[in-house]
Amino acid sequence: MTSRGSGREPQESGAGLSWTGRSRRWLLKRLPPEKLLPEGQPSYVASWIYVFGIGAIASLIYVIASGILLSLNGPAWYHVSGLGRFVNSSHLWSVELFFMTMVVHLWGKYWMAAWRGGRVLTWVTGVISFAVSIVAAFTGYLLQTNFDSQWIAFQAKDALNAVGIGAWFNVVNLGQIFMWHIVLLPLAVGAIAAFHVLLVRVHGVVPPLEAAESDAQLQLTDRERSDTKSQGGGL
Amino acid sequence: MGRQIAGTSGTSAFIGMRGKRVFSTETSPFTAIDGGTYLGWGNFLIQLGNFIVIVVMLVIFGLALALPFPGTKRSK
Repeated sequence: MTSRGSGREPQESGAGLSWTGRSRRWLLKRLPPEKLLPEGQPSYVASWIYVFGIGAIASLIYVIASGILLSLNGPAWYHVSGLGRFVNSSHLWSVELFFMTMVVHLWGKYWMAAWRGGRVLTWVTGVISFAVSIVAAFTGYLLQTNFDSQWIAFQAKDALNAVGIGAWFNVVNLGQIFMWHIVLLPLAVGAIAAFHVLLVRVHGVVPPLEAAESDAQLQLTDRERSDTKSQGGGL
Repeated sequence: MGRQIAGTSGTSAFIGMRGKRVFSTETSPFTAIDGGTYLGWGNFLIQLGNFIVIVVMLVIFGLALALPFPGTKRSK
């Protein structure tokens, strides 16, 4: 059934909304368009220490794009042809850049206590993203198909067997590791990074310690913040 | 018996008793892996590549804090 011709718009504040309507209302309340795509940032963001997050995202985009090229063309291309070897190498070097920018971003956020002002989940998703990225990079080293990857796999299998997960995460099974490296882990890293960025949009960029008075979220007391959460705010 | 020459950029070659090259990976699609270079101070041991990456990250972090951002004036 439709509501066409009834002449009534759904009541945004009422309880009669469907789950899609309730989801829309919740999302728009948490993340209105002007927060999702802001046209300006606070003046303290004009600092080099704030560029490493987007640097990590740019590196991740290149990592995924070059990885798609590698997987579509296969090892007969990226182990032999000049262009293939270039893309293969740039895939590695963009991973190096991804980790370097991510680590500097991590240092910067750690020393400005970026979890302040209700931003704990933003910090936690960053930590999870870092951990999952390490596993993704590890599976990449296993796919070099050379003596180096063989050595790494046979060292790692003992550790993974010792903690009881070797039967499910078998580092000497090349096909399984391909599945982890080119499907599951990139999806996980991409999803967590996207959620991390959305949380930054929801809560705003954390200010330096000396600019704390300029941040609306830091001016909220713990009581006000818990009241906001109890009224339907989960992020 | 021959000796192995560990080269840079992933090339290596085995040289036979008469100095004749018997095997080379220079034209092989598979790059050779050598042991790498390690730096050590007492009990602390680190591979050269890892050491360089850590030093570069520290330098970038310091520069990011020290260098002014272009096109803006500092304001509180």
